[in-house]
Amino acid sequence: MFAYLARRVLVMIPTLLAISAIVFTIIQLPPGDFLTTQIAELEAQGERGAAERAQALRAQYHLDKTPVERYGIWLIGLLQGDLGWSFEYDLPVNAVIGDRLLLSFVVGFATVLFTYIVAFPIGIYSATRQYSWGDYGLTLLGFLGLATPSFLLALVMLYLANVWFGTAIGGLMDPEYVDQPMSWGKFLSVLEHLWIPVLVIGTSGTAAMIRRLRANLLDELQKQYVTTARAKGLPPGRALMKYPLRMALNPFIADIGDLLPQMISGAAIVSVVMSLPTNGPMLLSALRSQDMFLAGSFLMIEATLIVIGVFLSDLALAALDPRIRLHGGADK
Amino acid sequence: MNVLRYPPKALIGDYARAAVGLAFTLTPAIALGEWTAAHWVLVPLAGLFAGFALRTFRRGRQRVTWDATGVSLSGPGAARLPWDEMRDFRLAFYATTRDRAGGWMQLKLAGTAGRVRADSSGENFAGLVAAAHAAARARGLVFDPATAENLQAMGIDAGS
Repeated sequence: MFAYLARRVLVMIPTLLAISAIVFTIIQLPPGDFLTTQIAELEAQGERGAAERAQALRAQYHLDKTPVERYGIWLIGLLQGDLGWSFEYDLPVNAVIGDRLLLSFVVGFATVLFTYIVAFPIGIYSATRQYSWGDYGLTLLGFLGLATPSFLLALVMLYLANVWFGTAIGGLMDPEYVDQPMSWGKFLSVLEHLWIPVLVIGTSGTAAMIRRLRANLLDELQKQYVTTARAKGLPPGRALMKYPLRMALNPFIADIGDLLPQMISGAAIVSVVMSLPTNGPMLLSALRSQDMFLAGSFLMIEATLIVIGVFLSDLALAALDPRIRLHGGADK
Repeated sequence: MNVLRYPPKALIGDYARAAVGLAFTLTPAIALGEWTAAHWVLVPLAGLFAGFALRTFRRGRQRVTWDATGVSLSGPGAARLPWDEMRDFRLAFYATTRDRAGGWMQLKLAGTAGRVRADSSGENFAGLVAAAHAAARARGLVFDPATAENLQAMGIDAGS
């Protein structure tokens, strides 16, 4: 396992380097930059000295250097924990995304927790009681969850939450706590508002997980080793938990790679509809305004989390199910 | 007497990986100078690759021998495991690709006297697995599904 860990980490390093190069290239692709737009606006307003100011700003942010030099400066900054400067907010990127990352993580983590807590018992119930009334009912609910667009559910939930529970529409906290430091009151306000986005963002994922878990578990339960275990008198609960459920969970472990970036991406469209202060809307805004360091930082953080997530899922799979694919081959 | 050892040809890849890993982690750690957030990641990773290099060096000095009575590991981490004291037999496959088509096997044997591990990069690995499997069958050990499938991939029927 130690050798596997070292080999796997070694693969991550060039992968992250390649991703950083691609991210940097992508954020440089659109013609012009944030400063060009800003200077054009100043010139349109007739401000004197706009050209000199543009030159000074370009030198300050290294925009007058070659792309390779700029990439090197950006990469060294990333290693030092300096994500650059946000032109749009006129603040360091670290300061701009700090709170948003935390709130996005809270929403993402709560959504993942909700998905697993709801999907697992239902998936297991549906598989072990296939074609029962309960299975049919839950399958119908699952299909409804899959078929309902998240943004539509968001609009409906916003209305219902306001009419039934009196919860303020939009946002992740009451207006008086916005831009305030974290406090007990703010925390409770976040909790009060959290269930709506969690329900909206988590519904389709939960429905999809129920369907997949049901299908995987049904496959496993029909295998010979389960029949043998039952024939030998193993209690039904143990015959289910010992191997079939573990084997059925393998695809979900492989999906950890997607979970981590989801936790901070903040489901952009739903966040826009619900006015959530998460990363999604800010990334959209940064891409639109060519705020290159802010957009690049978001993309790089998400890509890094994907790489770390895939790494963790590979480690978990190697520990839980170190099996060769039959008809494959082991290198000598 | 049957012997499994790791020829230099089998270890050179791991030495190269350790060297590249150390270069990727130590170079920026030193170049950055004063302690930054990145050092909390780079320094432990450098330790990991240093450990990997040490483990590869140990592998190169180890010999696994077996006969009708048991299996022995000589060199660093020496151990002796008589077959009639073997309590655990696991054959794991560590994939280097997501489709699990490429990778390497690791045999883990454990008993009251100690434990012995061997990788498929060693010469005569198949012979060691066959001998250990026969002993495990004679002891009535139960194989987990992963071990059974890996044995099957090596042409050994776990149930026979």
